[in-house]
Amino acid sequence: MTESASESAAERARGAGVIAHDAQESPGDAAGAAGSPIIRVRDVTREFRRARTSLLRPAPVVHALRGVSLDVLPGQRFGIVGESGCGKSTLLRIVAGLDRPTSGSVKIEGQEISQLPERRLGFLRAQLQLVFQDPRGSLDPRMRVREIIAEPLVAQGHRNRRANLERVHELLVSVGLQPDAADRYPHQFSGGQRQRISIARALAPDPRILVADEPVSALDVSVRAQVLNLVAELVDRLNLTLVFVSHDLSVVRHVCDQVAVMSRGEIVEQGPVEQVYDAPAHPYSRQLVAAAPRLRAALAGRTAADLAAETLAARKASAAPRSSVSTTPTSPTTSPATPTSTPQDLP
Amino acid sequence: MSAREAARKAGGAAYQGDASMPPHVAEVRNLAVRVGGLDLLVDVDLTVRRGERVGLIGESGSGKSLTALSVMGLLGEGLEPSGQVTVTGQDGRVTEVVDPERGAAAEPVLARMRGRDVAMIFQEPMTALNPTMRVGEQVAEIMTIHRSLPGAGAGGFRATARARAVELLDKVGLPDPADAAQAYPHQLSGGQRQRVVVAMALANDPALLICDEPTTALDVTVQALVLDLIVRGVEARDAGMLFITHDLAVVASVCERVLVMYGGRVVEAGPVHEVFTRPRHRYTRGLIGASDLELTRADGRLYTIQGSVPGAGRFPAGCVFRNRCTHATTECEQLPPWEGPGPEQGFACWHPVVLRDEGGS
Repeated sequence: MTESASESAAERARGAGVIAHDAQESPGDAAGAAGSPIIRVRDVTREFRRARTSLLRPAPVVHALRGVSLDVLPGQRFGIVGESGCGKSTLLRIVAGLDRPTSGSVKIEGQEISQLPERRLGFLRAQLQLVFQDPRGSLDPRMRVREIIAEPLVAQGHRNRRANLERVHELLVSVGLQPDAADRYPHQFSGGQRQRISIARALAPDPRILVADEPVSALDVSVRAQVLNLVAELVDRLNLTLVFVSHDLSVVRHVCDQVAVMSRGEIVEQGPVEQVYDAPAHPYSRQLVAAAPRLRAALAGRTAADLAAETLAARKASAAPRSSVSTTPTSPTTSPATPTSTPQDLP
Repeated sequence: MSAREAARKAGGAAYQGDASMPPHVAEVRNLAVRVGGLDLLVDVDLTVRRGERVGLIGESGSGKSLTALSVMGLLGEGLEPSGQVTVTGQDGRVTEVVDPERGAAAEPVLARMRGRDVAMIFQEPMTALNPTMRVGEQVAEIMTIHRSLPGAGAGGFRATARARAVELLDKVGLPDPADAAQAYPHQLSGGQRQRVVVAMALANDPALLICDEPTTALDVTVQALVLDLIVRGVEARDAGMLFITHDLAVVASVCERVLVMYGGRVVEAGPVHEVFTRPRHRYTRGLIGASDLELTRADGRLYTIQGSVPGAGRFPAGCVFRNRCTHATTECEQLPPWEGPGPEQGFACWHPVVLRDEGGS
């Protein structure tokens, strides 16, 4: 951990030239880098208003997030798991500064971002980058790959074309593509290659945090393994902090060391991924684990009927003790507060 | 080609004559699909018997869906099937969907078969349902089109179909089926919509149910329930099922037999347990390795297959997998023969995985 901390400090020093802002902060920060969270979310709520249905009544409100708190430590691989509509993408957008919470606080590297105006979020864009699910939708079809990858650099004020192009080539190689890919358009690549381009673009400004929203859900099985390996390799090599959102607990289990399970806008369970996977404490997590088909179990005779029965049993259990939501043993406010570098140790 | 032909004949003779085997509901022999000189499917053999659940796996672009559409007679304009596809309905009615001499059957013949002898569940329920029609009507329509309700009087046919639709919606687990029948598709959740599609597919007690990634768009907890629903529906009717998916764990939970497709060809086939625990084809082996997230290399990374699936018509000649295979040699430039007792079990690979601890690399 000490090694990674010093490396991440070096990493930051490289980025410090980009933003003066960061340079001021890094001395104080470096001391407690291992212990203090790089992402700190406290009691975040987000409400959306639906269209009015009546002139007399107020518009109905959707509570997308209801008091979410979490801490991500530097160098951690943090997974967020949940089904569609649970609020995981809303949470991600708020953490990335693409949306604002209705209430609560979000601090990235100790800096509150939830109240900052868009023009003061430059440091965040340099420090935190995103990879989206659909590599077709997230790459502009009319831009060449070199323009796509250099775009974050240009946005950060790097106008030196030659330097940018060199960086683009370097990035393409680091994600396993040929440098000559720079002159082609996104449609000339397969899904997996496009996702590699998305990753290269995300890495362009040398971020400390990589946020991936279902990055492999649209990919074929054989390509999924390649991209997961690439993400793991880059996170290791560049000492990134990873926030990885997925509906698939088994993918998160492979990639992450810490996981938060979300349901209906709340984090219902949080802890080391092995613990949540092997012994889920919250009924909803149990349901999620029970419902996932697994090859080994299926070959050992677990049929669709067994899957359904286990899911229903878990669901029944979750319907009964509703109060257990608030008494989850791994409350996010207590676990990351431990000053050691291994906050995963839980009671 | 000749070896495959011989295997087909030998295997064919063996099971065709066997009276103890349940009858075929779908038989595909030597199916090929071409579009403008491009081969999309080549030499596909597939049999589904009554009461049997067969899986079709492979990555996108391997020809799984095209095989299913060929059985349904739903190939788009310009796609020319050849070979033979025969579907046998619940009452023994035979439809030659693709005839070896005359090619694809005429639309009226196919229309009589679809929804009665064969039904299909697609991945995306929202596009499979008519957004302007109440779901109860849509389920009832399947029955009124085929006039498939015995014992219904001429005047009361629609009413009987409607009542039966509510019954079916109840059976697929929609809460409050009488109200649900009055709902439009957009008023239902994704899981509920897929339940409606299942109800439609099972309405006429088809002999064969084809499922093309039926749960890929659903949440995992909903998936478990819908899979169970489909399997129970098929079992209750003693129908055959052809189940297409890219998810090996799903296929292993649902099917008894499996065919692995790649590059428009069947590269391996056999009982699920056999194929998944002792794969012989290098592609099958790679696919299983890549989808197993619990199994990692010494460096903690996942096993992968190099490269990606080529576009249609860009697969290499000879063995279709050879440009991504780590074991490929010059021998692989020739088409590998089918090794196995028949089209239902075997593989086509020059350098198969050697059974017992040999196949480490």
